[in-house]
Amino acid sequence: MPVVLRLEPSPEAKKEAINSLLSDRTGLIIRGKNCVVVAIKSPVIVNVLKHPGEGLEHSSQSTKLFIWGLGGSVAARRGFGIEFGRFENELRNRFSHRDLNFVMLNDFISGYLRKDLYSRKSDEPLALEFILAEITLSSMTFSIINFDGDSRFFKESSFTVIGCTGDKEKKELTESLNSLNLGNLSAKEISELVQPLLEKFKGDFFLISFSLKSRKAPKQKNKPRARRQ
Amino acid sequence: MAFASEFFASEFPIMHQEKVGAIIERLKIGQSSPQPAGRKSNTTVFAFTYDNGVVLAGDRRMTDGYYEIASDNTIKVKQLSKFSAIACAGSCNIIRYLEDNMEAVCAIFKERYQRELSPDGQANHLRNLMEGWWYFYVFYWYWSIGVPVLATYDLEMGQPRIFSFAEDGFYFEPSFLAGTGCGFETVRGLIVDRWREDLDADLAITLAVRAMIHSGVASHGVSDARIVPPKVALIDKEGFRWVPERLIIKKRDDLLKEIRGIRCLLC
Repeated sequence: MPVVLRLEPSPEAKKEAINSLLSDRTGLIIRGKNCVVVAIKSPVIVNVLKHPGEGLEHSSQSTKLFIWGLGGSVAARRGFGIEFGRFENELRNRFSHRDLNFVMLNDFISGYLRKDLYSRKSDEPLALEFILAEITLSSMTFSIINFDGDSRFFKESSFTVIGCTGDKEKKELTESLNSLNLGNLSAKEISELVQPLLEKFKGDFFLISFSLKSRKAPKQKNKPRARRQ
Repeated sequence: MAFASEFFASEFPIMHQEKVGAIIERLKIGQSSPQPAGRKSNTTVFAFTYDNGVVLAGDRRMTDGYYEIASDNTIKVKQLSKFSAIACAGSCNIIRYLEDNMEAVCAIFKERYQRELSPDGQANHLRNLMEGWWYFYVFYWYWSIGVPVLATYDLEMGQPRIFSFAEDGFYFEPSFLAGTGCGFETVRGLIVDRWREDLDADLAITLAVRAMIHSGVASHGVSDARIVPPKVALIDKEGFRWVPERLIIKKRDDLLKEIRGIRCLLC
């Protein structure tokens, strides 16, 4: 039998390939007025991979967890899907589906990406990146996890960008977003402004917005006092 | 190993594989028929719900073999997290193992994820721990292993929950009462007879102490509540708390005046 020797690409070569793959696709998280908008433009979107919160039969708090993936090949996406299935199964075996939470998910995904980036014996780079969200009635938490497994929480800033690794594209996009006063805009206004900015990126456009309802009770008018005679 | 398994093994390391292996080696299970030496708690522990919480009670006796009393000062109710506690009957080393492991997992989970491990998650993890000891149940008696009762208050559901375990790890959620140990069977009927859905905390403590008095005179493996007051704890939406011993002693003394049959039994 002939022996076929395959040379594994070096980590540097892999990173370079990943960078070039991700330079023409992007994901955005934008904070507006009482709202957060998630916009993704990518040929492969792991489209709302799971809504684990919906499975909580006994939950009185309506917590929903969202995962969106962008970039990556079909094989990378399927590989992650299989591993995520194992993760859910393992969690149910050890604890309960109720114990799935944002931090655990964040740790798992970043661990998976970190491990797979350098250990996979494949020429095909794993250019998967993720946006995570935890939405409750009163709070919204977002984070992004890049292909390297580094996660970053989205807190006070008005926007954050994932993907779009090319210097030029990233600079242009950031400058354009900076020039808009996003903090005072509604979700609809943000989506109208963002769509043209993402046109040059490849793939399908995906946008979802979350809004926090004001908890202030409407002011009640005082009842007119009965006149005294 | 798949990454998902690696992830959980690194986040929540469990030591039972090594420990079980060591015990198999030590006792030479399957090669001869040695008598398991070790302390056992013959025990009465039980948990029942009241109007907005759960009461968990345990006697104080630890025995050596069948007849020797090792201690009448053991505390069998163990707090695991702010809203959960466990009480076991059986062999002390296995009970200690279950308690330590559960406590560690609850603490690790809280520290890593800033939230309590859910009651279902705790029950499932306990089942996993107990499955490692199933062969003890086959080779010896049920008291050679640890048989727990898990009592919790579920903040999300807003109600108390009790989990009752079998020797092999199987568990279910009884509606209001679960218990284990040699003395529990003698007081099960008494609790069922006197329990009501709208019991307040005070009446629930009284019922627990009453049951412990009866259990103490019915089984030699259970500490006599007339001599050593039992341990009673409450778990409600405020969390776990011990019932003060002076309150238990007062309730016990009041009840002893009322329960005339116990005095006649000793005549």
